Parts: sequence; C-alpha cells; structure tokens
Amino acid sequence: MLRELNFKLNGRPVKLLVKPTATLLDCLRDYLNILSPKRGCEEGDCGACTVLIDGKALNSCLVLGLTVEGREVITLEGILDSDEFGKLRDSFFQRHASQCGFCTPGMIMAAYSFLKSSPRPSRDSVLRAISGNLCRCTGYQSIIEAIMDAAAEVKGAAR
Amino acid sequence: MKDLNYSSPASLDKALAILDECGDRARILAGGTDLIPALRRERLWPDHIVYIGKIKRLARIKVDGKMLKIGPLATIAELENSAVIAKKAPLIRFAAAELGGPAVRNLATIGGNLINASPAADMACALLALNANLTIRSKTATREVPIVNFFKGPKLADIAPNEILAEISVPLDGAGVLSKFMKLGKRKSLAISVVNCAITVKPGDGGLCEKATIALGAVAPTPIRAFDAERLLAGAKITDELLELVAEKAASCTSAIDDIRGEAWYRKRMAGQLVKNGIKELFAGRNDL
Repeated sequence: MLRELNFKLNGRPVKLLVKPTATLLDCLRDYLNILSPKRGCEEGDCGACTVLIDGKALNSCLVLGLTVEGREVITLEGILDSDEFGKLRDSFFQRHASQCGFCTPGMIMAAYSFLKSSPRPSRDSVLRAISGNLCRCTGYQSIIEAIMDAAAEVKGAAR
Repeated sequence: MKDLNYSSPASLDKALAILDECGDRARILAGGTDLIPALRRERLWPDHIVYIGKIKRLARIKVDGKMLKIGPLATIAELENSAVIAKKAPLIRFAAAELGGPAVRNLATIGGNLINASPAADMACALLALNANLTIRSKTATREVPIVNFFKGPKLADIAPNEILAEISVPLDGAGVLSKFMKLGKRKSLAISVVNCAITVKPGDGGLCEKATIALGAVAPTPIRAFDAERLLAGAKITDELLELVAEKAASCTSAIDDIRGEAWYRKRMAGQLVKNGIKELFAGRNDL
C-alpha cells in the first residue's frame, strides 16, 4: 500500500508515493534519481549512503522514507555550489583522495558536515569525522590530507 | 521486507493506544539502527511500524532533583555532546563516544540500545554501572524497573509489545565518583563490542576504594554487574595484589560464548584485564602502585 511522502530535497519540495518499507536511500535512488548516495552495505556499516537530514549526517539506508516527512534532506547534488564543497573537490583532486569513487559521496558528505560544525579541525577530529566511512582503495591517508587541506582553506587556519 | 502499516503518532498517549490495539503485531521505530537491518534480513515480521520520533518530549535530558532524567529518544550524539551529561554523568558520554560511528550516533537512541537488549550493548553497560531506573508505560499502567532486572537474555528484555520505555533515570549521588568506559572491538569504529566494561569508583582517603560498580558486556547472555568483584573493592586499599584478585573475580562472573567476534576464553580473560586496568587507571596518581 503506497503512502504519500512530502519533504524538502536539496532545497526543493518533493512529493512521492512510496511503500512503507522504502528506506530514504531507496526513495532517493529509485524514486528521485538521486544517485550520489550508494548502496554499500545497507545496514549502516559503511557510510556510502551518507546524507544530511536537518543538517545531521545520517546513513540513509537506515532511515525509513516515511520518517523524513516534513524534513530537509541534503545530498551531494545539493551542496555542489557551496564554498565547502568547492574546497573539498579541489583538495580531493589534488590529494588523489578518490580512486574508484564509490565511497566518495559519503566521504564528502561526512567531511562537509564536519567542516560545517567543527571550529578548529585537528587530524584526530578528521579521523573521527570519517570513522563511519569505509574506503577500500585509498588507505584513507589521502582522504584525511584532503579534508585537512580543505579545512585549512575554509577556516583560513594554518594547516 | 513484506508490506506493512505505518503510523507516526505525535503523542505518547496516541502511540500507546496504537500499541495496545496491535499487540505483538507492531514494532516501535525510533532511530532504526537495529530495527531496519532486522526488517531487511526478515528476522522480524511486524504488520505495523509505529514511528515515535515525533514525540519530542521523549527526547529530553534534564536534572530533576537528585535524578538525571533521560528520554529514550535522546540520540547517542546528543548524549555525547550534552553539557548536562558531561557534568552529571560523564560515564554516559564515554560510552556514547564508543558506539557505532558518527552517522549511527546521530540516529541511534539510548532507548533503542536498551530495548534491543544486545548483551554487547554499550549504553546498557554504562547505565548498568550507574544503577539506572527504567520507567515503562503502557496505555493502562506505569511501572518502574531497575536496570539490573531489565535484561532477561540475549535480545530479551522485561518489556511487553504494548509498552514503551518512557524514561531513563540515573541517580546523582556522584560527588567524588570517577568513571571509565572501555570497549574492546575488532576495529576502532563501527564495531560491536567484543567485551565492554563500565566502572565507577569512589576513592576514599589513603588510597582506599570506598565503593565501586563494575558492569561488563558481551561476556554473558545479558550485560552483567560483577558484584563479587565490587565486594572485594568496597572499603579496600588498592594494591596490585588486590587488583589481580578483582580481575579474577570479575572474570569468574562471566559466562562468555564463542561467536564470530571472539572466543569465550579470550572474552573471559579480557573482562578481567579491562576491570584491572580500568581501576588501576582511575586510581593512578592517588596511591603508589
């Protein structure tokens, strides 16, 4: 039995008819063609599906679609014009922080959320910020360096 | 998952009314970090999901006289970042910091951790060491359950399908109490505990331990208190010899099994080690060891 779902996606209102069993990840990928969040583990253990809901980074595979009624969802598609994303995009490129790219949207969303909330990022706090995101390619060091670079740029702080 | 009904009541009374009608055909959804994977793996077959996330008063954290009152919907991240928790019951913050990963902590709730009743539950271990009290409500009744009586077996707790955990109360008699939470896992994040341990101690004069509480997880069918080890510590002077005895006693309280995360002998030994090291660190600088 389909149910109506209304929420805000990347700044615009959307209205869907969804199954109660659909997760937010299902809604984004299968109903809305938002393909940046990935199906990694679908049990909250890899972070490839990370999106922001009301400003908080969450695993969209664990969120039932109907529970985002009236709330604000932001995906990678929605932050492309932001200053933070610009710096992350450049630093990920410079540091080779993306190889196959599968973890990258989730990493960027985690990093974006971190940059938004962290007054004085340190290496330890960067490690913690991405501790919910698995990467099989890079060995993480390039990702950490990229986020540190972006943080320094965004915060105007010394690296 | 098979198809199901979905409700999102805005009040506790409405939620309880729905549960009363549905009985064991309904499941409560809060954060969903345990429920959603269980539904996807078809370990559960509810007809009806009752989402309680809109009941804002269940998310409050406040001090009420000598008790710290925590709503079941307080997320692990909120507990980790709460100034009230840091000041009044830092053990809760220590445990919260170890649970899952950042995105899981933003979603998972303390109530969910208790209701899921995993023997390895991190918040449950901390609350057990803090002698928390649980207020459980149904449409027609309210009852209080000390947490030490709440867990009945792996994933089994003293709560009926038509009941909701409405509040978690922690007694605040903690002046001079030190606490520590230790988690052994196969990795530093996104890990289910292989062994976890929550300790509170009240140091007295002259390197004495006035009293202590020790909770251990993933070493028995439920999170447990190591009462025998606590008794050894009460009123005792902390020495290396005593700590060895305490470690042995703590290990003897356990009844660990082999599973995919670790073997029984290892968990038993680590339980003793965590307790020994934890108490040692808490007393470091207060006497000569």
